[in-house]
Parts: sequence; structure tokens; C-alpha cells
Amino acid sequence: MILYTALPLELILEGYEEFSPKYEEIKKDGQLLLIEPISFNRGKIVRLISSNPQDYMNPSLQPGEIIGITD
Amino acid sequence: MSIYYRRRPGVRRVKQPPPPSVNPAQQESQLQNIQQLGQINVPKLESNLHCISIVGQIEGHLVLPPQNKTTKYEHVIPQLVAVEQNPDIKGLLVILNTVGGDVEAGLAIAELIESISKPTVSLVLGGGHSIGVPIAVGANHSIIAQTATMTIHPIRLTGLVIGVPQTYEYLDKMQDRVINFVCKHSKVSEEKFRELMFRTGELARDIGTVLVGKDAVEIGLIDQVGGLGEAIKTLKELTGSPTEGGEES
Repeated sequence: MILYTALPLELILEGYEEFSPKYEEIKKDGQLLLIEPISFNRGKIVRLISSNPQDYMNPSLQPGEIIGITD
Repeated sequence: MSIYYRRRPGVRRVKQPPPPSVNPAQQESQLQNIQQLGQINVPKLESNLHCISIVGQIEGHLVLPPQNKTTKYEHVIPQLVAVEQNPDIKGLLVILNTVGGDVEAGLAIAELIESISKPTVSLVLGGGHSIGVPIAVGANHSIIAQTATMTIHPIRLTGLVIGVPQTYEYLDKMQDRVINFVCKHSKVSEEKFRELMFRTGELARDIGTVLVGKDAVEIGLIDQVGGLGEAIKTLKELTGSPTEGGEES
């Protein structure tokens, strides 16, 4: 990986050593999602895993969206 | 003691107006809008243009620490596929305000924007630095705001290639990928671009050039200076759809 950026690398990678996000894969309404749990029943979408390109246009499946995890 | 409200005798219950019909999902999204954007209603308008904003760092194969604002290429790429595939979308507007990022991810986005068969317009606002340059020139028509800047500098000796520190030749090769793409898709010549990339004296502790608004147009990197109005107008012209409302009087 090569970063080509105007920002100094120290600034970008600051805290990289301590940064260990815990992600979980869940299935919600038939969609496979990678989420970062933020409380016991809620999570923030990190990534959507789908082979249908139109799913990536769905506003409720955008990364950063907070969703209920429990079905 | 009961905490429930007990009707006092003699007080006639006033009929409450029915609560506004807001379903829980809608309420949830409104709440999130307040939290994330500070406003309740985000206006919804059916548009035949799709807008992708590329902000912050372009995140590649590595998840960056949370202080970085990132554009996730694994989400942008399928969106671009969806734009190409969806018959309701007539054109694509790419808004750039990026400090650069992963070479591979940036070039991937640039190549996709370039190869989309629908009209594309890029608008550089604030900054379109480093790997933002190929993304900006990848569109059919590129526009830069008059105050926006683009930094052109060499790829520095940072990063690892599959765990192995790369040689100078490897970095040179990576740099050529960027230079070739930019020169192929804009009016700037390779000599000129290389000269800008390795110019000394402009950046304090680095070599390179900062292009502000019209400088980028003058050297032929970007097509015109303008803003949102020009971007939408050009996109409408390219899509052949009638210009309605707003910018035309």
C-alpha cells in the first residue's frame, strides 16, 4: 500500500498501534453487513457485502449508518 | 404509589389531536439526521444525476485510525457500477475535497469514473490534492472552484509493498502510473506535469506545486473555473436534458 497524500504520514497513522476496531458480520434483512457494535443492540455500518450494485445506493445501508442489530 | 396519571373526577378529557403520523423508521432517521447533520429534514428530490463526494483520505487496503475522514473505495466502486447500470441515472457529478490517499484505491476510482459511459463532471472544492488529481481529470469535464487548490508532489518514500520496503524504482513506477493517467486525460503535457511535481521553492519542506483555481486551468489540468451552477449546467448539457429552473433565467 502506498499513500499518495498531501498530509504527513504521522498525522494519518497517529494512534494506529492502539487502533483495533472490533467488527462483526451480521445479516440484516438478507443483507450481509460488517458492523461496528456501539451498544448491545446497535451498530454502525462499516461495510456492505453484496453483489448487487444497486444495494450500494440504498441510503439505509451507507457506511456510518446506525442500525439495530437484533432482529 | 402509582405513577400513572389518574383522571380527576369532574375534569373533562380534552380530545387530543391525533399525533402526526410518523412511523418509527422515519422517526429513527430523523433522529439520526439531527445527530449527524444537525437538521431534521434532508430534502428529498428525485434526481437523474448521481452525486458522489470524495472527501478526506481515500481509504485503501488499510483501515485508517478514526481521526481520519475517509472515503471508502469498496463502497464507491459498486456505486459507480450502479450508476453505469441504472437507466434512471443520466449523469454523474463527482465532488472532490480530498487530501489524497491510497494510490491503488484512488486510481481505481479514477479509472472507473473515466470509463463510465454516462456523462461525468468533477468539481474540485477546497482541495483535490495528490491522488485527487487523477480522479478530477478522470471525468469528462472538470471544474475547479476559484479558491480550490490542487497539490502536485512526488509520491514520497512511505508505505510498504506487501510488507517489503519498496525501492526507488518501484516508487518511480507508481508515480508513472499517476502521471500517465493525468496526462492522458487532461491537456497538461507530461514534461509540464513532471516539472510541477518536482519544482522546488514552493512548498516549505517538500518539492511540488500548489495550484490555486485558475492556475490549474491555465496549465490545462482542469477544464474550467466554476462552481456548482456550472457543474450542473455542463452535466445537463452533456446528458442532453433540458435545463430547467435555477441557473437559467
